[in-house]
Amino acid sequence: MQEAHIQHSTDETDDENEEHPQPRGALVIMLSYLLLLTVLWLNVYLQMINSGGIQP
Amino acid sequence: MATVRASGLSFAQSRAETTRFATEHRLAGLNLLVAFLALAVGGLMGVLQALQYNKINAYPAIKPVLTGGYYQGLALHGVLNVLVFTTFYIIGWLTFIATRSFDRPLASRRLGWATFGVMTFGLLMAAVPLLMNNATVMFTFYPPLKADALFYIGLTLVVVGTWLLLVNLILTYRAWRAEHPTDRTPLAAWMSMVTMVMWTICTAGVAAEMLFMLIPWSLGLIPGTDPVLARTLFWFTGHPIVYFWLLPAYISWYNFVPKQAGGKLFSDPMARVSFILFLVLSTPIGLHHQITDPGISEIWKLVHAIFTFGVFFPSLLTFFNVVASLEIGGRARGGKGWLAWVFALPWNEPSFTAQALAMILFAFGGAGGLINASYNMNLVVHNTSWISGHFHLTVGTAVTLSFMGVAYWLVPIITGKQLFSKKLALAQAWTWFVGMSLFSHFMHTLGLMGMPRRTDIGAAPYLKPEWSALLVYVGIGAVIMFVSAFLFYLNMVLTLTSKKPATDADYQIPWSKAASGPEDGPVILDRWKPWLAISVVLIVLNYGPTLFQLISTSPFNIP
Amino acid sequence: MMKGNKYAAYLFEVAWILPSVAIPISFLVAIVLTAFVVGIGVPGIGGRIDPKAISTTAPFDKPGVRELAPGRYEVVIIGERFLFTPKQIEVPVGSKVTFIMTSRDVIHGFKIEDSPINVLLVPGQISRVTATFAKPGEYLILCHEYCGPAHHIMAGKIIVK
Repeated sequence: MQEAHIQHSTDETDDENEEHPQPRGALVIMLSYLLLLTVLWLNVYLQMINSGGIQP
Repeated sequence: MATVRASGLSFAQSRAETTRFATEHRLAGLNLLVAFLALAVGGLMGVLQALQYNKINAYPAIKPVLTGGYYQGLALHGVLNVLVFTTFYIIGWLTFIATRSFDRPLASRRLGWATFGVMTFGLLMAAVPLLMNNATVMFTFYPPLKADALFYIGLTLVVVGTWLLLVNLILTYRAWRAEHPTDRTPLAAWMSMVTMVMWTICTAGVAAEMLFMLIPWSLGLIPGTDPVLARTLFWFTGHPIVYFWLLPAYISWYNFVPKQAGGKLFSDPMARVSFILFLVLSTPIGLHHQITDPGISEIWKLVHAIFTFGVFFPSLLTFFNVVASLEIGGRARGGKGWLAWVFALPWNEPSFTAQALAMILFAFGGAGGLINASYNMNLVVHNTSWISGHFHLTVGTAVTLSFMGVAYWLVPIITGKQLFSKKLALAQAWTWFVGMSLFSHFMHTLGLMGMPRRTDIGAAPYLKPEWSALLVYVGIGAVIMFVSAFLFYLNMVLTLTSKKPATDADYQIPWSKAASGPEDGPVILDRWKPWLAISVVLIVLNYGPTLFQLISTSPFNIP
Repeated sequence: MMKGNKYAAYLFEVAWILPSVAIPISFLVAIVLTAFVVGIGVPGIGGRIDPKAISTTAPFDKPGVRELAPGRYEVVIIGERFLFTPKQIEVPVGSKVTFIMTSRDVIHGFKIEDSPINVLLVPGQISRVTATFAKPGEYLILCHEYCGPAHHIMAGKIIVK
């Protein structure tokens, strides 16, 4: 088996321990998605309630 | 020892791997070939359906070949697209990527060929009644609708064939483990195994349905079945099958797209956690497909709905992890600001673009899925065209467009030919995105307006003018997708027949490094027993009572 | 995971994981309340029946509308290829209606437009679902579960006066 092409963790340590800033873009996108999800979900929820035939 | 494969191979070494993995490459190639042939026929049926929605009836013209018209076409569309295309592509892809990730060939190449042989034999067997209009029962084949016995036997053989890949991967893993006693399992290989383990466990449902009911019944050996039990066993498999479809796409999103984006996988341990959650939560939730079934308790339907909300979480983990990985890439490529880095991503690369667009549409599909699972909210959407809109975003885009995106780098490696045209590939990705957005958006809207699915709407006496007005856009979306599919197949054919050999760079698999590597996660993530145990316990708890109730009270007398 | 300020990293994770968990949970609470308090429930176990004996088994021996009490109705419907029997029913506005239904042959769908009635009719099973029809009008009933070559003509109507 070729050992040469499997990088050992010692080689990768520098990369993995590199400082990466917190992914603020991912955070914003995630929160926006949860907002979108809520809007879409509420749309169908309200349709269920409105057509539910519930007597006031 | 590292377990995330770095692209540390020289160009010469990358090329040399094609000889070492010749069988695996060949198997992958054959599976992809069967898959894309199936998609071509299945996809074409879809176009006919969309035209018929708009009262453009092409079925009489092809009656000699498709005697069953709209509904036979629809059955072919479902079976070829979501059962054949997906299964063959996935088996091919996992055979390739697991072995390359383990850096060892399949433990048994003979078993590898047997896998392909059994699957293909089963496919050909099922194809006969399908093409002769003797299996127009849709890909869900709910009894009492009855197909020719060869349809059920053939599909069962395809599933049994897939189990052989799991056996082979387990043998390969054990050999790898013997040589790496303390290493974490390489991510892509590990994910492939999780996918196949989850699949093998969940296919127990449909296998039981076939073996104990549908096959003997269609052969005339037993007089009747139980339709609700049949549906329950089908959906036991039918929900986790969507993760059998998705997880292989996630394997690409986690292991290769970050590298392709110029970045790194944000967190390897978080990725493993998401897959373990899929393993454990995919199966004990199938009753959310049976909310409108009589004969099943509302309480168990609610329990399954709650657990279904649980399985949404690993997809949110995936969402965050993958977007964060892309962000690393965008910023490495010079992107700045909160969101502007998105524009710095490699949008000129077709494999990246196809998968990024797939992710965008999947976000909408996932939201729709949560709505579908929302217990009584399902009463608004069940069996309407909303459902069709939903699954075209998920299996039709997240999975299919990602698989096409992967093909753009995988096919050159397997065939040794350069991709014919990157421009065609980019155009293909964007047209799929636009066409599917149109198609799916309006199918969702029409569903909320009450239009049913699986129905020859163009011929329905209750077709409403408000529906017809929107079906135009559905039709346009479908035609745009047809153009996209045409571009894909054109590019593939011209690649296969090309004289230009793949370049050195083409042979490099885009392995991603991880910003947070596997060693940062606890060892228990690399164990199997605890997760398999939890998986089985949850299935027994969530399905036991319902299956017991159905089996013990059924007279099995529905002919 | 991320090196550096551990506290900031922790807050960052909470910032997205907390809403990711809290939002679906609040959806679940809303759903459960709507199902069990407001009363928009889903079909449950309605009992079994021999499809060959439908015509002689109550209440399917007399399909149609029956008033149980003022404002309270029971509607018995049989689904088969490719019609509902009866295919047209009338109830007064504001009625609370319980549908008792089954199929004579294959699985059919039964969905009433603009209402929470969405249920399968399965041979061998009785479907029992209830809804209140608060708004007058004519509402389409359709079969939305593929049942054969003429599936797309299978439809009915409920008139709420």
